[in-house]
Amino acid sequence: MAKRKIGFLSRLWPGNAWTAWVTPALMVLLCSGHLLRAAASVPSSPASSNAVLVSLEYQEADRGVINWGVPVTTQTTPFKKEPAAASGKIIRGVLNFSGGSGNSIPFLWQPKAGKLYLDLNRNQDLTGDPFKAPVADTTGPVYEQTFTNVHLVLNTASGISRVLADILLYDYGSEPMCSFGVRSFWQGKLTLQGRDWQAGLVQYIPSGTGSFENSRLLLRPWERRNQPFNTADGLLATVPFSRKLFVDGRAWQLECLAHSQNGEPSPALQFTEQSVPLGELKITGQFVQRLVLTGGPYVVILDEPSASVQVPVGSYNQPDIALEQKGSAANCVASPSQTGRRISVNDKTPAVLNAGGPLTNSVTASREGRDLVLDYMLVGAGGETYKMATNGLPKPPAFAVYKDEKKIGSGDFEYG
Amino acid sequence: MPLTADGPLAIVASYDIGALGSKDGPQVIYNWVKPGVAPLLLPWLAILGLLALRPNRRASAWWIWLPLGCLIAISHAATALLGPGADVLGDVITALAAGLGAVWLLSNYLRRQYRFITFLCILPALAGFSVPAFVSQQTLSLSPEAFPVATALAVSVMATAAALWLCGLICRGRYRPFGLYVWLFLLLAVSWLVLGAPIFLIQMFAANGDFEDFLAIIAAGLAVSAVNFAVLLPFLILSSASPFFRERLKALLHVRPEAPPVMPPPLPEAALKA
Repeated sequence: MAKRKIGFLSRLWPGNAWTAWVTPALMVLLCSGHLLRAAASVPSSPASSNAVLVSLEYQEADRGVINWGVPVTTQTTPFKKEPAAASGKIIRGVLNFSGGSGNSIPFLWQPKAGKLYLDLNRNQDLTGDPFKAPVADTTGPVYEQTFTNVHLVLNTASGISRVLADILLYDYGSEPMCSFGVRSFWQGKLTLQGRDWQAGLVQYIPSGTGSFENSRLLLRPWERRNQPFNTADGLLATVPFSRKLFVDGRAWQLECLAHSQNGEPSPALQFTEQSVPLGELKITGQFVQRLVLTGGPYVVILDEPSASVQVPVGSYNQPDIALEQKGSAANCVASPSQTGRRISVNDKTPAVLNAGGPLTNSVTASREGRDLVLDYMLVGAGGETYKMATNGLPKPPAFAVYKDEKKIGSGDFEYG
Repeated sequence: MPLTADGPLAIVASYDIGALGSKDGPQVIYNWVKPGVAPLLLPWLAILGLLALRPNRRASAWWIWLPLGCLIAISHAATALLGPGADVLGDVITALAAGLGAVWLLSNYLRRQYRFITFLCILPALAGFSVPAFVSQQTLSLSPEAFPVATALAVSVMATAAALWLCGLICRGRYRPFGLYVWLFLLLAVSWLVLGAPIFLIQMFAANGDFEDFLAIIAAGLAVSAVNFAVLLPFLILSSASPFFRERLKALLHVRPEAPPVMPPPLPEAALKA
């Protein structure tokens, strides 16, 4: 993860990028009254003996940390000011984010030219410098293009926020689509009961009511802070944002506050310890690096849990599980058989969770006409299925077919 | 699966999962029953049956196995070259070949007084042998993936019948093999584009395509019609080489029969005397 400085960026990205930085400054000035009021409500030290406040800093990563599917509204009417016409199809419209029309960004995409014009200051003038994407084939139709290093400013639940994203635009059919590979988040160092954590916020802005309902809380041991992460990688560095959090054996009330740091808006997280009734949960599997229980009274994070742990009483969804043992890691993927089953924890009898390692390479066989169809699954202790965590394309699992102990066929499984 | 394998098979999945578990999974036993070969032989038994018909009871009729054998070999080669995913394409080639073989052997029965009626007879004959041949290659269990290919087969059956009809119309004056080949290729391309146009155009408009998409569709149509022509070509070559099948092709195309060679009139007797 690379942390970049604003001054450096402003020299590297003129035009629209320059606008991207001027705009937040203006918006900060316009909204400073609100922010200062919000900041004034944030204590710089723990509000009480059982509350911890962590100020978050803007952080940029080399790779995407969360994907946003951004709704697109297209239009045929030209904008007030448009760049010179380019050959091929021109797609114009608006990228819609939650938080009102002030958060929407008009755009004009020239796929053949590999150019994307964003109206970052929302004045209907799209004649600024475009973002550019490599155009490999100028003869054939362009179905998708990625525009990297796009800096935006958006209204979020924690105030005005900078966002760095790689924008992927698709045009396969009737309506173009847009996906943001967001490469920025907010993070800080949190100390709970003497243990250091990287705490942060990975925001989700495209939809919702503007609260943190779709955002993710980054919470992992401080020593893992430099490891790349993505909210969808299954390794559970992030969990759904919740105001009720149970971590490291303690329950916390979590608040996200608007904050000002060096004159720049930034969110802060306040953890206030709470007292809750606990029940016993027995975990039969091994190698659990992190187990997350959601859908209950608290979002429960259990790191390297022992065979028996205490969690707040209540009913939970099936857990998200990340396994790790001697450098090998895997994460639990949804299994149809698990859907609907809930885990009930009470303070009288222990609840049992059959999940975890060791993992088993499992194959099922069925017949389809002349073909013998083999399906592969990596199965855990409770029959749940896992996916190995690998960088890049993993080597596929293999199979061998024996007849009377003589190998008569072998091969690799195909993804699908 | 090898066709010879039968009985309980032990299947093992392997994957290096490091310290999270052992590399080899437990053995799974599956009782495999050999698939019957009858469905695979069905189209060829049907061809054999057609050879028993009275007009085909000649040694030269058995040359029909030559183009059929070539096309079966090509379909297997295509599957081997392009991978297991291309086996359905091989099945289409084999099925169309079986249908064309049947039409060539049935041409005496299919020919009617009017060209269009002949076309209407060729169409069900070609479909009646091609489609069952295709289904039998799928061992009577059509997977959802096979339906688009079955649609392509249906279009190729119609395009081939239409091309034969139109080619007969154009070449009705005289049988010229090379001209016939060229016209058949062109007419196959036109037939494919006309028959496939509604599907392609709907897709293009749904995809908000532009002129380049249209050109891509034209190119795809030409490529598919080239494959279709490649299946037809061995039968055309057979018809050029074998007088027996040449007459069959002429019957299908309604080409005017070749006139007997013009003999010089005998000299008048008086002249001889002189």
